[in-house]
Amino acid sequence: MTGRLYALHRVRGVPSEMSDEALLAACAVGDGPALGGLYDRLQPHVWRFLARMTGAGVEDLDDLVQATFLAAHGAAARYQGGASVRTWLFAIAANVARNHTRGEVRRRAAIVRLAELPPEPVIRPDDSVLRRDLLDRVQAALAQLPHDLRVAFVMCDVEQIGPREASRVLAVPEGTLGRRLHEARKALRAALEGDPGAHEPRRRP
Amino acid sequence: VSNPGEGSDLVDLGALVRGLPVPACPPGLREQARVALLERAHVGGGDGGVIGGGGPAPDAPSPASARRRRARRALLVAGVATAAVAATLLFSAGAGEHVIPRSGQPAPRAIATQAPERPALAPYRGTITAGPGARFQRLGGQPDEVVRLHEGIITCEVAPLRAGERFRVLVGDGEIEVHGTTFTLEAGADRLVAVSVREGLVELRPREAPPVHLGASARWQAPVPTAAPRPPARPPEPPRASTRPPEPPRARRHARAASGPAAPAPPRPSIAEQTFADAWAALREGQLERAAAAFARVSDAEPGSPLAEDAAFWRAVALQRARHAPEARRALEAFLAGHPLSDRAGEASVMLGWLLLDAGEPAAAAGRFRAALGDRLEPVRRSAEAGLAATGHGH
Repeated sequence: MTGRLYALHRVRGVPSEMSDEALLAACAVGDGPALGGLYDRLQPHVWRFLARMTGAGVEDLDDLVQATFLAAHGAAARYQGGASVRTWLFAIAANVARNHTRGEVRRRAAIVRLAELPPEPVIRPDDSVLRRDLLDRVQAALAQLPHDLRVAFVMCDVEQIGPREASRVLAVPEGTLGRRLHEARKALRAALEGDPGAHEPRRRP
Repeated sequence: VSNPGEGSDLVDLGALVRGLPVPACPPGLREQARVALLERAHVGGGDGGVIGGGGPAPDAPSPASARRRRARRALLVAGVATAAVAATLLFSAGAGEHVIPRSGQPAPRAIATQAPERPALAPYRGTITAGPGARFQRLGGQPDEVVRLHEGIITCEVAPLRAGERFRVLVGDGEIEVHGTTFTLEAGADRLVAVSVREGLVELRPREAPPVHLGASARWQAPVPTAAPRPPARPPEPPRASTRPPEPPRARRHARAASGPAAPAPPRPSIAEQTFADAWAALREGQLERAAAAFARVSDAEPGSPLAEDAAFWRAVALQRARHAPEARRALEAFLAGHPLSDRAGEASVMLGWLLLDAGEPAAAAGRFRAALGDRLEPVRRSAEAGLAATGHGH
């Protein structure tokens, strides 16, 4: 069922005890603590989603996550249900990622600039050479996917959001989403096998 | 959404990508980002600059929808204003104790003795319990939360403050600053009478005496005056600006105060107090030039006011955000020269350092960054270290 959430009154309650939807409704009337509560709860999910979508480093991810929550704060009144707040935030994050340009994301927020942070090690010591190579190829293939295919794949296969919910927040027909998903899987599989044509039936020479 | 032949592959692909390393978000950065996010949400109402396209999926609000939202908010504010008038009448009647909850709970301004003028809701860290007849007002929310006490007893329970946040109570002859504590203070005839600290640490700064630090269970009592108390220093009332709240509520408050034994409404805020509140409203609405001008007027109106120091700082911030770098630089230099011992001196120094660095003056910038290396706030120290490294004068 789809419904529109109207928050005519400030939502009462402790943020930690409120549902995501209630926090979003409070955001819609400018409630700062509610935005903080939503951030505390969903920041790790959005961070991870954006990391997979963009392959960005810590500093850019921080900017992108902030931009996502800021946009969510501005658009909270237009949340229509029909999908979880987490999925809805992913859709916003996908739009933020689409517009990810250095000039825009490098704006510093307020009074002080963030300190430089050491880069996270990309490879764990226990990774075998083989696995590392596989992951490198997946990461590269994911980065090369067109935006729409990447969104479909990360949302459905990685975050395991159902196709109906995903198609609703992405505002595309389920069939379109399915086609994008198929294309994304095909391209990734091809990259894994190290052969661009690997998804096609193999023929004897 | 599956296709024949994809069965096991799609599970493997998803799991494989889930196994890809994701940069961890350092806890300090997460907290810092949270503060910045809330500040941006309150100051600019969301900049939406990086959002665009993507069809009807959630996206940046269009100007038209923003106007509609503002209109809805105006209706909401009007409702709150009505509630405020009702609450004021109840409050004036001395109906027991009133509690102003922290933000996240019902709007605190509903009980304020002045109709709310700002569309943006300010975040509060303090919960105020007022005794019967207490007269006080909130002048601003975080990051510079100020309560103005005129008369009576209030108890303030202040949640731990985040980096860069302040909580103060002003009275006619001094101010009290706290960092996460519970305390009670009493004022009479706009002068501080007593302060009791239940827990935490309170810094009491009488205007004409040295600061006093009060720990848990400590109590401070004003010396018995030898002469009649002086009237509160206040310049003559100027003609009211057109942005003042509507007159009827005030008129009704005065009528109620004059007709019965109930506590009178608080006096109208001084020029500096009113201008400070206006400046903050402008800053929150993203009207940066207007905010900077209003903050400048605070210092002009009452240079000795406890608000003047903050006004000087926030004027510089407004100018910096408005990207008026030369003016911001001059404002920061003036602030640091005029208030070298301010709590915000480190922040100002770092901001100035970055401006100098951007202007191609690394040596001068390094000096400013060095001055902030010992700041009490970790984000400021880290920014100073990063700035120093950027100048090539780091360790």
